Amino acid sequence: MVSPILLIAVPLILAFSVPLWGLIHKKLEKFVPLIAFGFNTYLIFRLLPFALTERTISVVIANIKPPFGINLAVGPFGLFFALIIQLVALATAFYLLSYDPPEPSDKFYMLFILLVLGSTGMVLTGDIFNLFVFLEITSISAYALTAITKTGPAAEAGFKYLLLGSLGSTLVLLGIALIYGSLGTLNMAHIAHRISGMDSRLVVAAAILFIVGFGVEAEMLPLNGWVPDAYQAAPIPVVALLSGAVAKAGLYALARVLYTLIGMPNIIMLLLTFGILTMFAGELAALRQNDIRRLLAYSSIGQMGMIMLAFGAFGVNSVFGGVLQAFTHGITKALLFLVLGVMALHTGGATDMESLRGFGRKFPYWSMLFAVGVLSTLGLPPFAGFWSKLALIIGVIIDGHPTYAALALIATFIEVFYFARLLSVIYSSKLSPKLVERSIRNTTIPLLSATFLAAIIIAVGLYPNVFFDLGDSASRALLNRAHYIFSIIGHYLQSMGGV
Amino acid sequence: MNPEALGKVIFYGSSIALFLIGLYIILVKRNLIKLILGLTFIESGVNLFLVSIGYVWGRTAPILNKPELMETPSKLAVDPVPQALVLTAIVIGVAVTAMALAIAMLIYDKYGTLNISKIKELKW
Amino acid sequence: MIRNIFALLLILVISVFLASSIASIPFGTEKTTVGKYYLDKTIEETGSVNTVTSVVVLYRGFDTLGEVTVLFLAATGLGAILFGLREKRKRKKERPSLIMRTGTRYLFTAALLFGAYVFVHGHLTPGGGFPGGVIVATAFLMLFLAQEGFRVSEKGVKFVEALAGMTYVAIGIAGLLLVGSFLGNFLGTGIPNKLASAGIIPLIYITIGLKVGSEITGLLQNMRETTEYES
Repeated sequence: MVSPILLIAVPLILAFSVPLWGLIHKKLEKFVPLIAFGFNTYLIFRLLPFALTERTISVVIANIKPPFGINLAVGPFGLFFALIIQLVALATAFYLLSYDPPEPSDKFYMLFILLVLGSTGMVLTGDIFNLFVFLEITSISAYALTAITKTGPAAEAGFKYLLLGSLGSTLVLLGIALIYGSLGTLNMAHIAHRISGMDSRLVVAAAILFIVGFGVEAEMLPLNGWVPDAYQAAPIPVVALLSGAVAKAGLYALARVLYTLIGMPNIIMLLLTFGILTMFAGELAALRQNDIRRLLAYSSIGQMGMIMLAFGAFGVNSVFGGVLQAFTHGITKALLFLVLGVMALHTGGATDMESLRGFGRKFPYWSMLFAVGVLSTLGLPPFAGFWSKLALIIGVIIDGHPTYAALALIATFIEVFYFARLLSVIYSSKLSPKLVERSIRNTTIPLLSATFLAAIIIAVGLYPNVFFDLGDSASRALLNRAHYIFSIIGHYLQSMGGV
Repeated sequence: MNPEALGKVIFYGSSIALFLIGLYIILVKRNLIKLILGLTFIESGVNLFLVSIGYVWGRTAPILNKPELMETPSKLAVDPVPQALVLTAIVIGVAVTAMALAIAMLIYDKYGTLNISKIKELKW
Repeated sequence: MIRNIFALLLILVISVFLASSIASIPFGTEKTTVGKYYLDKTIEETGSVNTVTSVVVLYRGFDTLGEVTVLFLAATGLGAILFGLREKRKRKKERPSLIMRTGTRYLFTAALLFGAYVFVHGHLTPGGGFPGGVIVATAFLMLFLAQEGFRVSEKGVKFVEALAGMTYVAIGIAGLLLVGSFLGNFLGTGIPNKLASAGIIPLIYITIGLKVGSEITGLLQNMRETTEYES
């Protein structure tokens, strides 16, 4: 087996090397993200057969076995999220080839690689403090990339994100301190093994700190004020990553901490409440939006809420649905934003509905790609979103929460309203005066990268078997705490005679 | 008061106090620089808490450069892990603060003010 | 006003919540299994007498790689955001004082040497790559303050930064190839308390020292130049 550590080491060395490429030739820089994520995608596909089993393996770092050293805990659940992140990153890195980044361009590419690297690290690590470090790598590069266009709104959005984000990660650090203070260990499997002996008030306090802290990245309700502003002001490729990589990594951290580390049903059920509130807040706010970026941002919040609801229902069927929904949401939102980026090229940068009225009449292929994304989000066959939404709603019903399934259905109806309005504007027969015939730039490369994402959505929709298998082993692996603990620190527990 | 309770009040108490002062600043103040200050207060509170978790009565720093320390280190030295964690956390805190100040400079350049209630576009 | 009262109430609730949970963590007692292991095994396994260093660089070395990346991110992000930003108001410029100029002339080399000493001896004494790097950057800060118009070469800073970062990851990958584990110690432990001991720890701390030194220097230059009028 190839070492999963290369998923982190290779992009890191490439990120450090970006200025050196620029010294050779300025044009070479933009290929570095593509090389990094092309390599990573190749690695992920090499590791995928492994993700179909239910095993978790520990990859030892610095030759020190867990619980004493830091290790990567590579299992189906983490690999599934790593797959989502890599696919979105690959499509976006390809898109970057025809994109003029804000100056200084070398720094833009470095931040871009490190953003993906941080979220990949978050979903692979097996150590709670290491998770915090990767969270910081992800979020600091996200703050910088949000503000990088250096306009007023971008600076505001960046500051808002930074304030909430660093408050959240400090809370995570406090939660880690509480756990270390009472258990004296940082390895997640070791903590999970011992948490039953911890003072229950402390467990609840740590759990709340983690939920609130990771909730910032996962776009959870009280702390998601940064989402619409950041989605509106950040460069388009960055927005694709914010929903495709950062939100997914935050969601992974929430699920991993609550299911594996804490593992108490009544604490996990807290996610249900947060999920429902987030879902309705997002979907209802989306109804009123006129700017498509903001509309998609609120829709993203709503979808994340729905996924949290599924994770909060605490059952293998609903987690299965949640995991699949996370995949389709990541890919679909990335597709929608990349297409929106090209749409904006034809209106001089405007993304409000009126400027894009009638876009579909003039550019049928682009609008078709956009429609694929919209229909998949709504959960219509034959797109991937159909299977994931179906699995989510049926899963929540099977796990004994029909009311919550009904709420998710209501949220979907709200989605139908605003997306129908959006599509009717895009396919309207009246033309917006702002639309221009030809964009300023050649759009072949964005076309290929958007087609790639749309092809994934359709392929998964038509042949969902592998997708189901991956989601199935991912959800089983998440719920199988005992196996996770044993495969990471089994040797240690045996040597202590404590199995 | 027994020494343990006293230690708790002094060290845990002051780290919680720092944390809360920072939180209050963030909730109430309107000036970007003060908000950043609030963030560093919170970070310091958590760092102080982490270090004080690692302290053990009557023990010395975990640098084993004396013969008696080398023989039974785990009976004479304090826990090194929280110190290593705080080292990492401090560096991260510096990075966040630097980034925050840079964005604040950018905001000042665009709007000519550091007061967030005067920046019209912002919906706080 | 309502805002203040609301904030105070929230603070009150949080303080009760935090105090009641934190109070159950004992103070001044030993609570760790991991830390005990590190103290007992550090000399045997790593050869470093400074346990904090062995934890930072070897046992939890992956965190430190992340930490270096975070600092790199801060320098990069700052450079990206402040790019092209110049203060519009012209401010009166004062010539640095005689004391500053003369003092810096003598202290600069001493500070550079001291910084290097701190990061080379990280496995023996308190200190290490991060403080050492910051001391090196302080030497440059003195030059910024004492000499008008002094700048470091931007290309040079970039080059040192990139090379040091890549060396760090390369040491990690060398561990993967030679001993089968990323960041593994492939050099043996040596005799404790000697300068040439503790395997890859001094190597890593030297790369960290250079990286931190060049990053903070670049960061200071960036912040300084945006607050000066264009000359």
